[in-house]
Amino acid sequence: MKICLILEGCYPYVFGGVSTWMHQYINQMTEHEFVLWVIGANAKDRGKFVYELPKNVTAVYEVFLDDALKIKAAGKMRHRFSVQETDSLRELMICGRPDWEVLFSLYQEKRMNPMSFLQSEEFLNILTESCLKHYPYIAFADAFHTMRSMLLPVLYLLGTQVPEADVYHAICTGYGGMLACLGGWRYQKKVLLTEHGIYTREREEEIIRAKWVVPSFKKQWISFFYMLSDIIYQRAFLVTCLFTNAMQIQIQMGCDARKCRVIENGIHYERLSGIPLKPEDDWVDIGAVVRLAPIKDIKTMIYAFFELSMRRQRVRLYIMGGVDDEEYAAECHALVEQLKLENVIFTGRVDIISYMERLDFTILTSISEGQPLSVLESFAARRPCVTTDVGCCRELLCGRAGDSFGEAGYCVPPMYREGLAAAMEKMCASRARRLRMGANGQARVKAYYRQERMIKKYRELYEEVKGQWQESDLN
Amino acid sequence: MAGIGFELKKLFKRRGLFAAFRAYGYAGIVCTGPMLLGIVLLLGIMYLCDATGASRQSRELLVCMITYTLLASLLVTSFLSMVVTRFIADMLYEEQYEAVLPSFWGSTALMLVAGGVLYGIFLLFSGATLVEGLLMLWLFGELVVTWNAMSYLTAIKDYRGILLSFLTAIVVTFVTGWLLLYLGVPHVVGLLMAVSVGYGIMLLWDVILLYRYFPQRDFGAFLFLRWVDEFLPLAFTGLFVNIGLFAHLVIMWMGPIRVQVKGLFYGAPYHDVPALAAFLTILVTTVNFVVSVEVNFYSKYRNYYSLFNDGGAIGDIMQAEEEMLQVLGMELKYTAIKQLLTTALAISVGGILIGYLPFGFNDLMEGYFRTLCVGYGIYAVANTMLLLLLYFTDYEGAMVSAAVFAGLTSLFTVVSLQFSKVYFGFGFLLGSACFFFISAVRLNHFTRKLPYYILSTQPVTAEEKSGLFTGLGKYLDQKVERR
Repeated sequence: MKICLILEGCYPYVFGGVSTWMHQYINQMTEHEFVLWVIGANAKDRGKFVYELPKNVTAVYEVFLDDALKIKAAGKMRHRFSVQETDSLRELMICGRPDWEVLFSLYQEKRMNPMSFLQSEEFLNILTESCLKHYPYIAFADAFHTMRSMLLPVLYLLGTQVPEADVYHAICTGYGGMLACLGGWRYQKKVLLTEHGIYTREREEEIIRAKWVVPSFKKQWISFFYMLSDIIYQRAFLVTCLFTNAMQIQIQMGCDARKCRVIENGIHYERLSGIPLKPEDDWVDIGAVVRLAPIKDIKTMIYAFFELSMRRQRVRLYIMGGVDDEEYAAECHALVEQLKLENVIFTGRVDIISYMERLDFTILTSISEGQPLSVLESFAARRPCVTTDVGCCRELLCGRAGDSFGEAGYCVPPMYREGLAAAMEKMCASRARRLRMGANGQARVKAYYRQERMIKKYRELYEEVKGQWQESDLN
Repeated sequence: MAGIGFELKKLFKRRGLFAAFRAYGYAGIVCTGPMLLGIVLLLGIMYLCDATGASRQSRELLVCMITYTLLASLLVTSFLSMVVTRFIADMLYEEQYEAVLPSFWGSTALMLVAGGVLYGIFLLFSGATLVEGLLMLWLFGELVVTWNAMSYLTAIKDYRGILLSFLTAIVVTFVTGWLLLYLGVPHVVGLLMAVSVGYGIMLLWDVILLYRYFPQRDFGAFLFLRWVDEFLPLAFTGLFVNIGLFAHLVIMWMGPIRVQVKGLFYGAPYHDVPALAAFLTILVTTVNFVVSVEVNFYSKYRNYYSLFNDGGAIGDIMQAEEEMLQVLGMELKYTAIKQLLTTALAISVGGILIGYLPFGFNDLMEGYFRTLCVGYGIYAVANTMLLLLLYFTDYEGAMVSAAVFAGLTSLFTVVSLQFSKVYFGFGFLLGSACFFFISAVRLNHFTRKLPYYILSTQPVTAEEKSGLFTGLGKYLDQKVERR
């Protein structure tokens, strides 16, 4: 089967949870052929892959959002919109439910030029009308420019070249989800969605925090991403996520419960399970396998570790991961210096297997997560974990209903510094408890989170799609 | 987690900048001001000639020489005047006062060189004596500097200064003229010298005013040439309006009623004198623009545009637009009525009055006077609309209207030469009517979709225009620096 994977801002450009997962996934599915359709932010990243692509990846289609800015308007727009087209564009602009097929056809078949449209009278008319109706009190010129910047990448993507495949499998909603639907529409194929985190929620948090978005437009931007996610929730044949809570959220956001299912992440269990425990010494070594990025909340981790080292001697913290955000990384380093912490070690990106030997337990302080691989890996290596209560961390630590393996660590509300310090202190206090919790975690991973199990489930997913084809072929 | 989000958005933070477009209104006045001044001077000199018993030949030669020099200088300055106005407005808006004075000398130098060479060549073959030629070239230079200085003075709205310098120029010219004639200097040379002294005083006066306003600093004198590329339509608008206003005079000098005064100096006194007299009737619209249209319209206009910049909601914008367009309509109506009354008065009473003046008005001239009064009246209202187009930054529209004005008045005047000479003034009249029509259509069309032109026509991403003139400016600035 020729599977088109649609990825946004991760594989194969940067390291990280989803990227690692994707790489292993493709490597395992040797029986399928993969086409990558990847969306990046900056065209200067073209071709700069940090992974060596597996042999079964036969093509990579790269699209970059900032290329949208290079489009030249093709003069005055000549196209006269039909009522249907105007309605769809209006819905798009008020972040409602546009008829995507009309939009697909407008930009794929009728080759509408995005810049010409954004400079057209029609665009202004629709905007004026919807501002009068929906946003009568917000600054009109700002609304105009916001709308332009919001639509430009979408319209650009709608007109982009579509790779041909047997199935379009998006690894997130948003722009990626939209492209998957575009592919499905173009070649009349099924669309699948696998969400690791909840994309829309992540965008929402990002927008709420963003300083550059004028407050009055935050709502608009958030609804915009909800709309983008809605396309694939509506049009996907099957939707998977990593854990039950995430599925509940997808359903809440309008995805039909009948097509939702949970496929847990899996890891290469044997690779880690044999790692020996750290021999007992006077030190407690804590590891954090994270990229230096604000969403990982490294600063809170450093503060919490600072408190821990006030209370306890001989503790060390290894922060193991590459730099995602230069500015943030510099701030983290500065913070360590400012707090005069001698036992915080930034290792950069390292081979986890060899480093794991030095660790007693691991920590994760993210503000947002899906199903973190680092926790699974830590468990597989029999190291318990202190995490924030995000994504499915609690489920991993305490087990789902019907899981009797017992606790494998402590879960603390996100950004709760004292709580993190206390949890680490508890973890440091007893080696026996660490060993017990580590064993619990290892047993859980062995039962539910093995790669073979995960791959099997995804294979079944593709089989289901194939079954659908054959059915429709028979008809 | 996967997802790019919208870091892209940071790229889009660009807002429209509405500099002081108001300057255009005044730039339009600058265009007519010198002409009015020139006419007053001409009429005065004719009077002086008659009063001191000059020969008809020397009177006509004098009028020709001054008219030629006046038109040549206006034509040369018209290409840059609006662009320079825009440049000054932008610089004042950005509070870059030190850029102003260098650009004055930069633009003046360009016009002097380009215009001086062309006019000099013409004078070489014109049949004027050396003294006359040199005096005319000198006067031409003075006029170029003066007209350019006026663009700068209007930008800082020193009308008092301008008016005083006008009056001084007139008084000094007459006093010097009397004096020179009294001392026995021949009419042509004496009065040319008088006019040169008059304008010379005006030039000094204007330049002193400029130096008082703007700091003297080392700054790229040819930076403004970038504005020529960016606002090329503005440059052509200025040029075309001037061509439209004067081409019919020049064409008449080639037609059947021309009189060869000397060498290349032709005149068509039957047509020239009524034309100049009729031109005076647009004074009412000029004044009306400054004291009424500008004042009433501008406050509404500013309110409207500031809503786009300072967070106005759609409802407020629509209301402000309605109010602004209402005032615009009213003001245009009043302008038209006032001009109509003035024209009617000029035709009925003015014609009789002029008959009493010592120019020997005959029936043919009176006919031209009437026709041209109507023509200039229509022009005045059309020109007001053209200025309004500039306020709304419809540079292309303004340029097209001005081009129609220049093209059709010339064409129709040429065509009219094929008919009886009674109809000669109708070429200009018809051309002006077309100018009126197209300006009205364009203004109406444009004001119907103002938000579209204000917002939608802005490019989504920034682009900078650069071309021939930008390159020339860079080259000249480097040359100047190297010295």
